Amino acid sequence: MTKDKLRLSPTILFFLFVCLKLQAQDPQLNYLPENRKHIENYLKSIEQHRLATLDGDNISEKRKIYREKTEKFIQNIQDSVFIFGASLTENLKPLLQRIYKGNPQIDTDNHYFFFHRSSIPNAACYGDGSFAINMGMFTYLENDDELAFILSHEMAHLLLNHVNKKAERYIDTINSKAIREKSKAIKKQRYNTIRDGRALVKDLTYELMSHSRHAEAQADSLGLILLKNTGYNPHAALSALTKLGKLEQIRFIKASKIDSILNFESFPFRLNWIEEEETLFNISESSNDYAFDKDSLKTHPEIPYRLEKLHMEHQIEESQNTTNYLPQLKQLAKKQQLHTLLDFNQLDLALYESLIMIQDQQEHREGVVKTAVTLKKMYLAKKRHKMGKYVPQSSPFSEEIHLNRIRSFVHKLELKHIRKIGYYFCHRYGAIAGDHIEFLDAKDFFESLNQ
Amino acid sequence: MKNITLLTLLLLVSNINVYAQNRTIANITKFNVKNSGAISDGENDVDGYYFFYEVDKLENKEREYAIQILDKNLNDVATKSMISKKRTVLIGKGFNGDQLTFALFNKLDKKIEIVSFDKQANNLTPIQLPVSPGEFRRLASQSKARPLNLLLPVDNKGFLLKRLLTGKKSGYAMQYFPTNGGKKWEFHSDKTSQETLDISTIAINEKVVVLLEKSQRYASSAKMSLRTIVLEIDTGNLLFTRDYDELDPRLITNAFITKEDQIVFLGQYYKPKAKLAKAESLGLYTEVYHMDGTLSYENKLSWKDHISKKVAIKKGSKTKDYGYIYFHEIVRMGNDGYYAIGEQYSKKADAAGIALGVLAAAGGGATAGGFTKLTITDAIVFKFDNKFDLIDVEIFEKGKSNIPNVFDFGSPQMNAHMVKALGGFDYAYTQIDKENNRFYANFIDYERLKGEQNKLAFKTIIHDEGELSSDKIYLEEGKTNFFPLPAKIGYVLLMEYDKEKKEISIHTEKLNIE
Repeated sequence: MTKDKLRLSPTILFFLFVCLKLQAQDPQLNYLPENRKHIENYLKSIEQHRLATLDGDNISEKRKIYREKTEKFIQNIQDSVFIFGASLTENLKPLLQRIYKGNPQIDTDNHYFFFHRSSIPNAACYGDGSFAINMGMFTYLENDDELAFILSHEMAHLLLNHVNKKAERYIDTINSKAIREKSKAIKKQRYNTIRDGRALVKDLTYELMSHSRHAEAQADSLGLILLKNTGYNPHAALSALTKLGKLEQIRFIKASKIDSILNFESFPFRLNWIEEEETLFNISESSNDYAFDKDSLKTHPEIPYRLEKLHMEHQIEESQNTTNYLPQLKQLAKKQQLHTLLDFNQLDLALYESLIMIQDQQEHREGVVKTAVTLKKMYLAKKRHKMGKYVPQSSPFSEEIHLNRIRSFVHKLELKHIRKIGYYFCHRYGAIAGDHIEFLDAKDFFESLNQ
Repeated sequence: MKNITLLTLLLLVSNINVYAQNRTIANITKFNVKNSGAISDGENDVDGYYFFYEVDKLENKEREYAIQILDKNLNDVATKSMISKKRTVLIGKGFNGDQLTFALFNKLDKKIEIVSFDKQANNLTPIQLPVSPGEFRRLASQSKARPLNLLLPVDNKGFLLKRLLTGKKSGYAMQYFPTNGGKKWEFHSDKTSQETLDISTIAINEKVVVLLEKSQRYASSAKMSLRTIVLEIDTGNLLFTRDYDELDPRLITNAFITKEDQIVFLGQYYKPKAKLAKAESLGLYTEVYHMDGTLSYENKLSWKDHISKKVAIKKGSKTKDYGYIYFHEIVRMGNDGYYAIGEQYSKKADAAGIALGVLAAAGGGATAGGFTKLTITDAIVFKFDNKFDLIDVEIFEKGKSNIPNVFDFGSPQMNAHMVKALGGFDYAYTQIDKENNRFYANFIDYERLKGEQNKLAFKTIIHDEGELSSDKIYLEEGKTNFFPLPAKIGYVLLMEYDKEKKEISIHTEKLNIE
């Protein structure tokens, strides 16, 4: 959970740059809202409200930030970064209503919850009533109580005005007389300009990040108070945070059986496709003489610290008065996940997830169909020399070893290999996929390539 | 995909760019990239990439430099800081499997500094090498003219550093620095030589290095002789030399060392006493030597008697259908024989050059060249069997490139050598994939398209399983331009520039075999 924006990993950043107009697979869901104009007006009105209440110094710079934020958000909607539909809002609404009912002091007039298509478990408060919750969050949470805590945490950020304060503090700090003078003095220096400039940037960065960490712990605390007023189990705050702290132990932990699923008598799997390559150094992380201290750069404090703080500040008692809307949201998220990955050409993740579906025998048919579709998209991406744009290369520093192997496979495979693998895969699994239209399309594609 | 803006401009300011306004702060921490490029071995296999920055100005004429290193998959693996005197330039880089090494030439301290990192990315003790006034002059002028790479890795053994020496005339030395506990050695040219001597490495493995010594009266002299020198890596001992035979002149295009420890030379041969820089070749040759210098096998293939059976010859080495052929590489593909990769060219009068020349003459000026041009057309691949007998010729279509000749006088061959030296051919480089018995020969072609705007294209001829095929990447796509750079074998690095967003990103792409 971040308090102001989604943490923009390279994968997510890519979402922001592609411009796709898509129709969601589920007829109840859309990638473009039917009431788009209404939403745009809403976003502009909350921006106007913020601009009207601005005071203090550096007003023009602050205006610029808020305007850019709104423009970017509208662009994201146009780029199909979000997903819209009654089935989503109907299942989130009861939880929100319960939080609002238990906490009547919350001014809900401007609240709007967006659903981000990302599979990364995350949520965001944008500072003026708009929030986003990633579809991936539903996959990782276990019950409505945990989801209610996440929502309460984000609302706490809004109640404490963390987002706007952070943005405005940033502007005020870098435009402050002290910083301007320091900056000017450094520029005038004959020697050590960069060293002193870096030191200044470093201090500022650490200070800003320290505020962020403090704000995060505050939002936990207030979020828990809000949650307690709802009747949901306050213990969910602890379990939700614990889960998010262990993401690396939850995501991509299964080894895909790629070497057996894509192994064919007529075209055997080659182990060198998934082998690690020799690299320049045998090191576990980048050796950077200029790196800032990693802990000081974190926006979020470590989970154990946050849990300890909650324990210290609150009496946390069990409660059983829960609801059961998360399973429907989970189901919708699962259905959308592969479709989203394929739409945004995250072919490494799509291949990994679809292979896992095949080997787990759950949603077996869906796994087969999406594997075939992924192989077709891999062929086309290679043919157009775009794979490097879509899929990162394997990294010696990645802890996601199973995903790393898939990335290696995706990059090392020759066009002529995919042509054969796609063909044999479609023939082996044709009976399972049946007459699924996407599968038949992929099968026809590979058959024509192999004629 | 990597965003290069971060790599080049905001390397040290990684986590503050949350808002656009960070420019105020970032501006004081900007610094310059002095050099960048691929870290590759003798076969153009790329191990990684480097960016050499001048970071900060320090007191006592010192500077802080940084070398940022990406691995072949573009992962940012290290950024190392170092202090040196101002006016330091990078003159070599290489990775030998044990160490990553850079050679820096410090103009102020008049020394070469060898900086190395072990497999844990730790700095090793630098090696300081004083530079004589003569070498200083040569290094200073050559490093100003073009990026130098005087360092050559010897896999898992050490590094060779080429030194530019001066005696009566210009000479050279090859210095070996072991990285696995071996012995340091030096091999240098005859300091009393009346000729200008230069050296280039044409083949290397863990056992031997094959050097080609070029000897000329003057650097620009058309008459030159070539001597092949084979040295033992562990000791620097001279195993054998093959002296230039004026009565049987040969120009080596390639050499390689086989698994059976034989040295294979490939190239073109000429009539007795020919001046290689401008003579017309009589044909192609191969010769195979044992490590003791005894000849194991030799074959010559003349244009007149042999090649003409497969390709119609008009006159001398000029083919009827393809004009002259400039061979860039001759490679051996295991048991699949040899392949000579070249481009067709012809010398023509240049109407525009003549018109400009007339105007210049009318104004009292004069030009040495420009009245003629070299027209470069299709790529051509000759396939030979294991005995070096020509089996087949394949043409790969390319657009026509016209390069004005620097000098109008001289033979087409001499003009072609000059165009080659200036990088005027479309040919870029060849990579050899020994593991899969493949080669990738790369060209940059300006393709003339019917009904649409002409485009630059990166074209690759690929040898795979005995067959030749080609792949093509257009280097323009809407508002995006692509700049191809060498990558690990079988891939190309595309540097992508988005003209609208003014953003540069890099990604590697596999070259396609369908």
